Amino acid sequence: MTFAEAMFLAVLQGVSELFPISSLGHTVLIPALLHWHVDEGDESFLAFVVVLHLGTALALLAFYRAEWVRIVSALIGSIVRGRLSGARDEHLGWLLVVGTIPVGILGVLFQSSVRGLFASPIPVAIFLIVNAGVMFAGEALRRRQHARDVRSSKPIERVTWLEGLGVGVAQSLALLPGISRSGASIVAGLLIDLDHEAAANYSFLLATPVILLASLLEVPALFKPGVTIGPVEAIAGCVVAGVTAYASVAFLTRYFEHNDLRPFGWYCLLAGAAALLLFSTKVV
Amino acid sequence: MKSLAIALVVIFVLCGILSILHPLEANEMTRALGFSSDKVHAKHPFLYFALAVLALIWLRFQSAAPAR
Repeated sequence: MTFAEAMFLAVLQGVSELFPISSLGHTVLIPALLHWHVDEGDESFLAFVVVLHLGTALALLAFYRAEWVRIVSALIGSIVRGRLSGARDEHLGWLLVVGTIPVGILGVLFQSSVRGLFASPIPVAIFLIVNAGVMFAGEALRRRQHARDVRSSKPIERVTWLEGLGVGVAQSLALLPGISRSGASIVAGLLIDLDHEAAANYSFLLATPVILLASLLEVPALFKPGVTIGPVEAIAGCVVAGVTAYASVAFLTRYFEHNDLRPFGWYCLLAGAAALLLFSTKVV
Repeated sequence: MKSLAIALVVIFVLCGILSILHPLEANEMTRALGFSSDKVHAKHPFLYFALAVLALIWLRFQSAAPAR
């Protein structure tokens, strides 16, 4: 992998990790489309991906730094008191803990085997189309719910533990390459009556511990024998992925104030269909 | 509920210790289940200890006196 390819992958990771279009799917499809000789099981490539995830997680932490300080203080306060007060930050913090449990368990147990089974272009293209279907279906169900019940969106402090767990389970679908973590969790958020902005913010907060812990657990991969990634490449990749992720989350939080998931659904549908056509007919 | 929380803490700590002492290695059964890796599952102890911490926090909530 050349330096230019590495930086392209860093930008791709920073953008696609937070946009609901599946970063893992794009990391499989783009190098295959461009005929890059990237071995996704190679120790150096995996180590580079760890660095990119670390950059993304740090960007998310930086963007939501004030929120995280309040959430962590509220969590510690509730543990010290030994009871829940029902305050917004405390409730949000425990919802994030509850929502992280499913993806933590499923990720540790199944991540490598699922990726081994499905991380090739045709399955990824199919899952991208499924991802589009999930987003379209989520938007349609939400519109139908609101048209029928004339109900308004609810604040995060009214989300129940079971609903929080449900969003966490939805996030676990992102173990399948081509299914977007943020797409699945935003759709789940919409279905429990959060508005788009709250669902997106909740999705990004929920993604932060998962991405951070997953990348920290993989840090030893950086020091394995045979890893050829240089310090300049690693630092540049981390910074580029971080800056792009920060810009992406800043854009998306504003975007979801007034817009929905359908444009990303159309993108995933078209990209998945095109990739399926190209790879199944062996054009590329 | 308090006894369940204690039981979960003990179970997860024991699983964590066992998974460090005897890491699960790839075998016919794990391959048949689709676990692709031939490597030792080094992340399992982290998972067990994280779950033990969560069970401990749950125990803390069960043990604390109710608010008046």
